[in-house]
Amino acid sequence: MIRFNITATLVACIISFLSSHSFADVVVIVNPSNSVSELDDKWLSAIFLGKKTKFPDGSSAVPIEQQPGTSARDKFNENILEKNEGQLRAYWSQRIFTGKGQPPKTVNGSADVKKLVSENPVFIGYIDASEIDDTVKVIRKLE
Amino acid sequence: MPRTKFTIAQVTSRLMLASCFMTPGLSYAADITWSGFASVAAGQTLGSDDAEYVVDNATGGAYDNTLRFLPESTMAIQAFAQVNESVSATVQAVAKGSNEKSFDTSFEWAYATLAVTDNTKINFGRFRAPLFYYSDFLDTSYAYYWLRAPTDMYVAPYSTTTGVSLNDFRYLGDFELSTQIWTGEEQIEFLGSPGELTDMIGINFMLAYDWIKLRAVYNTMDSAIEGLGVDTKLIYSAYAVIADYENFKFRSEYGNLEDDDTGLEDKFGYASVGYTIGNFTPHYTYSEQDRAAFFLAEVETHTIGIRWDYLPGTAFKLEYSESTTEATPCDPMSGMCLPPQETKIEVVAAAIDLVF
Repeated sequence: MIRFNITATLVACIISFLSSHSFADVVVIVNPSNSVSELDDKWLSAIFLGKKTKFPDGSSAVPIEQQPGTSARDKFNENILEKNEGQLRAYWSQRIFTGKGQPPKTVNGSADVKKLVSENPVFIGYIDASEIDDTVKVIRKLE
Repeated sequence: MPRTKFTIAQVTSRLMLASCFMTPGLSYAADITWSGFASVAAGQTLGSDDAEYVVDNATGGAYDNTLRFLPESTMAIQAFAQVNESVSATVQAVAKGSNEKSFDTSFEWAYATLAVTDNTKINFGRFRAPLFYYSDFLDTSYAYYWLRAPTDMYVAPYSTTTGVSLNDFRYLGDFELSTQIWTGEEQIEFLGSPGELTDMIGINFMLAYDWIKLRAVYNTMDSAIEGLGVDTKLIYSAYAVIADYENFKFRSEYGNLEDDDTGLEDKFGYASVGYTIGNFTPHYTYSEQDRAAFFLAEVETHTIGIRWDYLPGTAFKLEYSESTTEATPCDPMSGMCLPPQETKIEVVAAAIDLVF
């Protein structure tokens, strides 16, 4: 019985570790007052690469990124931007040093993204699905 | 070359001083974003003769048969400030080594941007003349796989212009169209003689779709180089195809410079392939020049190299080029030419590129 409990605890630990880190779902969020309810990947990618500055309804869109190294960032970059960290650096170095644009504002993690998005309808960001609450609206889920 | 020269420390202190003055009273100006890049390269020609291999046509930086660090090492810092809702300012100071100076600092970019609409911006000041696909970020070698963009194509004796540039970017369905129209002037040095380019007017289109980009540029200018007796209108056109299909990369450009008085033309181009395997990108490039406008020469170059993406923001590069030149020396006064002379040169170089 003790052995079974230990095994079950271990399994639960491993599952929770996997789900909260490497395999966690990532969601794209906007402010609940934003009229956008979904956004296709091309538009989403264009906003985060500085090629579009508006939501489809014409209101301003300002992307917020998580700092390099978070699993949410890696997942978003791979799925939506289709660039790894090095390719993204090369992309932004072209834009920064030719005056075409600056990369998005970067914050520490999901909690900081959620706080900014909940305070201002121009912001759009991505967070771990475990952070979802009613202060933000989910418009895309990356599994 | 009559450009303003500063040390990098002077430039930094000036930029910092400027940023201090801009802060009070301007809510936006507190956000000054600093960025920078550096490339430290070392190389030399193989063989015992003292032939030089020019690696930077704008500075004249060239390798010889001694290990050299100066010819193509570059360091730069950039400050960007959003002044208000529609105006921003960008200043980029680039320090480059060459054969004559240890390090020369110049302002490659120094301009104010007025955002007319979300799609259209006007830049006033000093900016890159967009003669080639890589012109805009030629110094930021981290952004491409070569150690240096093909020197047979990147032949212009200048890289920057001062004037006005209208930049437009828009989506046409799934196509991305960038249009740039610019006018400006620049002081140059060509074959050792100072001169000037004025009344530059150019238009540059780039169309991107998924993994392919097509580019076309057309540019006219008046060129006056007193020492060479040159006073003519030049017509320049160039095209580029850039493809990044999964791990496969293809780049090709072709350019043509015509002396409108004589009808004589300079032609240059290259084709290059690269393939990314993990963090490594080996590549091969064939490039050539066929010069007739101001002197007679034909150049063919084969280049192989590898880029190693060590960490995001840091890349190592190793490159080897073998170049054959067939030059026909002519006396500009009498028009008499000697028989063509063929020379072959090999050069090897290594570099570390950083962006920060």
